[in-house]
Order: sequence, then structure tokens, then C-alpha cells
Amino acid sequence: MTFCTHSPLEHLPACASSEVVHLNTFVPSPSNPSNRPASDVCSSGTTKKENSYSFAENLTREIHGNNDPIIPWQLQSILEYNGGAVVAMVGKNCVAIASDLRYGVQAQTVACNFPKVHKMSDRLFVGLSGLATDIQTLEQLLRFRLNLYKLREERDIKPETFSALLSHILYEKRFGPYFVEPLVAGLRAEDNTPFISGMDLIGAPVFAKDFVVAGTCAANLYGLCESFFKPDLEPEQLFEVLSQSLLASVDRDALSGWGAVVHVITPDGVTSRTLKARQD
Amino acid sequence: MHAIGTDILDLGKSLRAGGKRGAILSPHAKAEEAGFLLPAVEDPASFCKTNFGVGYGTDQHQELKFAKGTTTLAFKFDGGIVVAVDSRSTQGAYVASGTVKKVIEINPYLLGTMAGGAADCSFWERNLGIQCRLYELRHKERISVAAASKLLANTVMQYRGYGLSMGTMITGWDKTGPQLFYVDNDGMRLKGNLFSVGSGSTYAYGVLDAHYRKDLSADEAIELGRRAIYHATHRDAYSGGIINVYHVQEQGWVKVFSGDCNELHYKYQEEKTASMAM
Repeated sequence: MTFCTHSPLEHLPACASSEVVHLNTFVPSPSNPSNRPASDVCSSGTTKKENSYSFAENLTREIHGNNDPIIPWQLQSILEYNGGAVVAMVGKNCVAIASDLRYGVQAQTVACNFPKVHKMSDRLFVGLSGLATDIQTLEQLLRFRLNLYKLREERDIKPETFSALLSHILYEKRFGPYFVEPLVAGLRAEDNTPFISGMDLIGAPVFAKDFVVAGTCAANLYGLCESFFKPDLEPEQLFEVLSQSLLASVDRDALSGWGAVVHVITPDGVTSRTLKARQD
Repeated sequence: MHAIGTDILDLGKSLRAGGKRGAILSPHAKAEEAGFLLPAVEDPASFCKTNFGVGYGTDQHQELKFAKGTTTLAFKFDGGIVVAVDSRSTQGAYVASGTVKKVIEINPYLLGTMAGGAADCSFWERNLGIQCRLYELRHKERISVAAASKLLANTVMQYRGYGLSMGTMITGWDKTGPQLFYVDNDGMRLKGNLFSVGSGSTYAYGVLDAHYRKDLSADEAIELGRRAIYHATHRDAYSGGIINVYHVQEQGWVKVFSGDCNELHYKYQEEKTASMAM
């Protein structure tokens, strides 16, 4: 990010400084592969068995900032700490992307107004599922990078380019990733053809022709999208298919739901709707 | 040896009785006697606890994950006892069912609730039903709630340390009036006026403690139980689905409500906006 320091936008908030270390970053060093604090060394001088903490447990310890043994209550992975579901689907000259609205801390539902889909430009949206703090950080970072791109290029970014940029941003943190699984959905400016992509937390992209899913109920979403999807749906049909798939999926997932928001991108503009969903 | 044969009827009765009267059995010999086949390892109890544990947060490392996650409550008041439960069953984040019956109707005047391992609760409370019926036949009178809850507590004591997971309330009306006991897998047995058990219990306690009075009318008490469970289903990811409410009366229990917590959500929301508009 060295270009930031030469940028006229230097005074802008934040992530511009090359000195900023991502808080979740911890790089396993060869001598201390699990990055475990030295206090874990037992009084007898022997270290605990190397794999006595899982990767997710170690990350939880990082976040909680102390050395108490953490009982990860149902926690499979840090990606499931806050819960959430995101899905994007392709139609005929249109594309739709949706997310649930829950923000939770494990079992506790803290808020029901946390959309995970963000508008990047008039015809480009990004959906971010995973660890909520990283969703916010990454959204701000993407917005910043997009502003720079616009100033330099004096045009909107292409969905393909945005996807590649996002993938690159994620891989930059290969050894201390953002715990986020993003989806990209946009309409190409040249010919109104839809674009969707999904990627894992270190930026391995998947370019799909039909749909992409992410979040704590990804398996449910796959099942429903596989069943309901048809190629070349019109915007209204696409909205219906996507909404029903999402609602049915989150109802079988304890960690997502509590409302949903759906954006349908067409050449004429974007329609955004909030869905009435189950509140348990 | 049968894993579970006809000797299932012996489950939970004093294992020192019968042919081995007086013989002191080793802890795992006890479980074998009762009819469960145990793993052929040195310490079956700790093996079971490590690999077949059912409790919250104790099974995510295991290959086996069990159905659980609950809000249940019961409280005494002047008109008897109200028992209210949700109906969601989860395996990890997956919602396995939204229509589970978490009030176990042991017999027409005894109710048990289900929190923790679904299989553990339903099996051992069915077993308690058998023991209560046998008591009735032997003594020609109904078992007291105190005795029934003690039978269950004794049963789980036999399996202490094996990783059973159950948090249950045993309620009913006997000679001494309405009775409410809490029994859990540690062998804990408590008599009390108000309990809530499960992952959503803290939310339910919040509502109950704010609005509970001994002199509640029956309708008020039923509404309080329903509302407490509803608030738990809203905040707790692992509670939800249908809400069931029972009223324990002198003549026995009555099921007084069964409805979707989601419909209650929008009903309560409407009432809230209406009262604010006034």
C-alpha cells in the first residue's frame, strides 16, 4: 500500500498507513508455530501437547486477549462466531444478491439490522459473511480502494477487476487473514451481462454461471439454490427464487436469519427490498 | 449380551438388588448390569465422557454431535404450576427440528421437561414413567412428585461421569399440593418455586423475575410463561419454533397453549406499537 503515502488523500482516515498492522494478524513463527503464550508452558517445564488447541481456539484466544482457557461454545470456526448468510444469483441481464440481518455473538442475537451486502457502485455489490469486525474493516477498505481507483481512472470499476482487487487484498493477509468469505455481484457496463464470483477467506476465486453462496448456512443455501435455480430468469422471478432460497436456508440455521435484504440489479437500476422473516 | 434387552425394566432400580445383593460392584460393572453395553476400554466412564459427551460445548471436538439447545421454564403460583417450553432442536448450528415436544407427559399428573441431550431426557423420563407405574401397582397409591424426582436423580447418579446431559424439571400435583423439582445430570435435585433451564434460560429468567408474583391469576401466569419463552426464542439462537404451555392443576395437567413463536413476535410487536400510539 505504499502508493497511499504518495497519494493526495493521505490525510484520509485510516488503513492508508503501511505501519498499520491488522489486529487479527498473527504470524505463526517456526519456533512457536501455534503462537501460544509462554505462560502455557507447564511448571514441569514441558509444553502442552502441540495440538491441544485448535486453530479456531487459538484465534478465539487472540480476540479475547487473555490466556483463560476458552470453552468455544459450539464454535467450529471463527467464521461462525457472528453468524450470517449471503447469496448471489444470476438472471437474464440481471443479477441479485442478498444477505440476512442477524448480528450475533455465538448464541446471543445482539441485533437484527446488520446487512452484509454493500453497494460498491451503481451496478456493483459485494456481500461479506464471516467475522463481523472484519466485515466492517474490509467494507471500509474496499470503499477506500474503490475511491482511489475512481480518482485515478475516472470511471467505474468493472466487476471482474473488482473481484481481482478483492482477491488480492485478501491474499495480502495470507498468514493472518480477514475472516470473511466475500461474494461479488455486478452488471457489466458494456453489455449488461451479469457477473458473480465468490471466494474463500484468502482470496481463491470461484466464477460461477448460476449462483454463489457463503456463510454459516452455505450448505443449506447450496441445496435450495440447486433445486430452485433456472437460467435466464427475469428480475421479478429472480427475486422470488433468491428470496425463497435464502429464507428457507436461514430457517434451518441457528446462527442466521432474523430478517433479510435483497438487491436486484438490472440495467434500469437497483431494487432493494427487506423481507419479513422468522424472528427465532 | 443384549445391548438393550427385556432387562430394560431394571434400568435405574437399585443395582445392588437381585442376585448380587450386597456385592459391591465396580462403577462400570453397575452400568453393564443395567443393560448398556460399554466400550471395551480400561476406563469406560471417561471414554464415554470424552467421546460421547452430550453437554453444551462438550461435543464439538467429537465425531458424534447430539441434538440439544433449549429454553424451558416452570413456576409455582397460587393456581398451580405453569410449564412452558420452546421446541427447537439443534446439532451445532443446524436446526434439526422446530417441532420437538419438550414437555414429557410422564403420566396424567406428572410432567417432565427436556433440556440438554434430547435422547438422554426422553429415554430417562420414559424410564421414570415406568418406575412410577410400578410404584403405583406395588403401593396402590400415586407416587409423590418428591419421590418421582428422587427416582430420576437416583437413576442419573448411577451414570454420573459417563457424560449424560439433562437438565429437567419434574412437576405435578400430589397429596401435598403442587410440587416442582429440578433434577440434572450431576445428580443435583432441588425443590423450588421457579426454574428455567437451557441455553435461553437467562433470557427467560429476565422476563420471569420482572413480572412473577405468587398471586398471579391462571391466565396471567400462562401469559407470563409464554412471553418468557418467546423472548428467549428471539434472543437465543438455539431456541425457537413452537411454544408449548402446560398448566398443572389438582386434577392433573392440561395443555393450555401451543403456537408458533414467530406469530407471537408479530402479535407482541403490534401490541407494542398500539400501546405507544395511545
